[in-house]
Amino acid sequence: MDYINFIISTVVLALIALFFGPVFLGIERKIQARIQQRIGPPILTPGTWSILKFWYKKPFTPNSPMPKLYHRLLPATILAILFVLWLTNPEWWGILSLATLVAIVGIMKAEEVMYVVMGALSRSILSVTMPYGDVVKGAVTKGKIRRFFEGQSAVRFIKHITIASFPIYIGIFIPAVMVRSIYLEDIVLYQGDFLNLHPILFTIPGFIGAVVYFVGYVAQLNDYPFTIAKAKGDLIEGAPLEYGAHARGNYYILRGVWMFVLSSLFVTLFFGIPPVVNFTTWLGISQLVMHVLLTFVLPIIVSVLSAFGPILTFKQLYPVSFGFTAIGVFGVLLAL
Amino acid sequence: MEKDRGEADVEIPVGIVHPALLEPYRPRFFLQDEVVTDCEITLDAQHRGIERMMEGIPVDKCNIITERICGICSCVHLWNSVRVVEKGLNIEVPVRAQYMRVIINELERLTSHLIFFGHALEIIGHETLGMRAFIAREPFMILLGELSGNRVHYACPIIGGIRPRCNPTEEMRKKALTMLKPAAEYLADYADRILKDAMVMSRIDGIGVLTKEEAIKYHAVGPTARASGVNWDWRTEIDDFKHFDWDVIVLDGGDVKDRVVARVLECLEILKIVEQGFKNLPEGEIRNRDWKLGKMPVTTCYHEAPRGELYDSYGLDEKGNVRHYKCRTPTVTNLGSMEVACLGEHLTDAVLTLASCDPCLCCTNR
Repeated sequence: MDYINFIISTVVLALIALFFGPVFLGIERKIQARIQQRIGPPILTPGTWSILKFWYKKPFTPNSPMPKLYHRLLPATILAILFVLWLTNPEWWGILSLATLVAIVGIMKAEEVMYVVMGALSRSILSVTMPYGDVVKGAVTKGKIRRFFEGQSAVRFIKHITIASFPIYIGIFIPAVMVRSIYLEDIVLYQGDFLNLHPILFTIPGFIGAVVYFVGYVAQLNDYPFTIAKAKGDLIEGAPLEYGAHARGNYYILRGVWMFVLSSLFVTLFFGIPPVVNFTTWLGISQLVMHVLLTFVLPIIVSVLSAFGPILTFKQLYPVSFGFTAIGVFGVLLAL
Repeated sequence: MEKDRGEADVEIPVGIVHPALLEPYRPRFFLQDEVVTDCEITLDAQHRGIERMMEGIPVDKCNIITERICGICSCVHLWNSVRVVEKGLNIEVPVRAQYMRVIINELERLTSHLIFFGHALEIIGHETLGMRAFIAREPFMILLGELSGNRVHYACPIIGGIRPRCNPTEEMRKKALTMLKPAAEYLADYADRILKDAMVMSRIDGIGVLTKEEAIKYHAVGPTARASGVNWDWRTEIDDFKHFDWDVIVLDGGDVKDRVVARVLECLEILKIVEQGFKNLPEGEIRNRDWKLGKMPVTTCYHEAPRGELYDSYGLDEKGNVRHYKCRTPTVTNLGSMEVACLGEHLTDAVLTLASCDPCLCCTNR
């Protein structure tokens, strides 16, 4: 194993994700603004510059029983999701046989659970602790447990994890079923080398898998219309509500990096172009550039979908999720 | 049949500061899992004491202040307050002034309904259509600005007529008709887009049903009541509207969709009224000066504000100063009826249901 290449690949991929993730946030906002007939912010403002701005704000201690843990969830989650990106890099394929879809799905589950923990740890001043004399002044109902928005958000995240995640996992496993292997190496090699690609995306089961993956991708990002767990109309922002100052900046990084990592995984699984870091040849550089360019596809489509989709409540979310899961299962059967 | 207020596991207090509440009030939702089993709303978080302020001041000043009760429906507050004196002292209003009062008031109603669309669509998360509501609204705001010299507080009605600057020239009248056409086309397209959007409909169809019996029992008013089958509109009782050919929109579903559709159809009726107003605007005086202020017993007037029934009453003493001023705005009873309508809905839909009566806390907490 070449440790130098391993370290360079790991660092470069992390830097790419940390740079392009926040840029995706800006692209998303810009596209939505254009659809809404607004000029919108400069592309680097909602992600990159906002993060820098938040980092230099006066530190803010959240109203949480464990504020340090609440803050540290963010870097921990960012690190966890970077592993998804790293595991798709060929330099990592040999490490403890971790470069499998099962490991990736496990990390994704951990990312989802982090939001539940986030919700359980936050106590926003905007809900229960908002001082208002409505209980003492002849209220009809008294003595019920008063739940914070974040608590309700945590409950919704549990349902969301249970139901809305199905499509992305089915989408991830369709390439594995086609290749008959859960190893990323096999899935990438199945689609040929960079100059002679036969992407899974251009097969019928692969296309179905990509569509289902896309729906799951939106659900994973908790973006419109799958944003019931942090619906602005009632829960304001749900679990991340109390992230302020540097923690808000870190939250933006988390969101941006997650957007990039899931897009990168899509490119690896469905285009067969893994994020190879090899600056010694033009082919290596071209492959990395192509990989990064293709990661823009999903965020752009998500931006358009989000601009035209209202929040789906669980009444709509269940049938939508089950519907796309059924389509995914059909794709799996075709792949078999 | 009245809905049951069932047992709840937890309470979610919302507000008084919350992005879904454009103005401060305090709904408390009692939930079993996600389902609202009870709801209690507390108002008056921003009481301004306007009624107390009116006591003993000259009636002209009083009328100016009534316009400041609200920034969305300022004209109707002023108009109804002026009507109290006109009714109490039997003051005739010239026909041209009646026309202009109706035109300004109906344009204001239109802009108010468009704010409602923007707000409701924002709450269901459809930001694009929400923002387009404000694009659709802008030409009407410009038109109001051109007609009255102001986009928000038009200060049109005065005792016995209208303010001279709200009296359009022939050129302005033609310009207004020209401005109205493209704005009306955009509005019709926009309304059509909302009503044909399957995802939007899936969020509002069958949600927050208020039956006719409940609407009557809790005294829902305005489009909220009319969407539940209550056929009542105070404009049918006001002489100024008798010059116009228009229909009262009544639907019988009583859900959020019907409350939206009722306002959409009402917008089209408003366009009819405004167009007729500009086309048939009679020549003549705009103010009757043949009256004198003096002692007036407490007199009551009702009007149809964009959100429903508006009540104003006061008397005058010998010097023409206001005594016993009272005002009641539609949101008080509309929100009360929404407490019932949201029972059995999911929390997210319950917030939408409250918003679907188009609450205006600025008026309510005057």
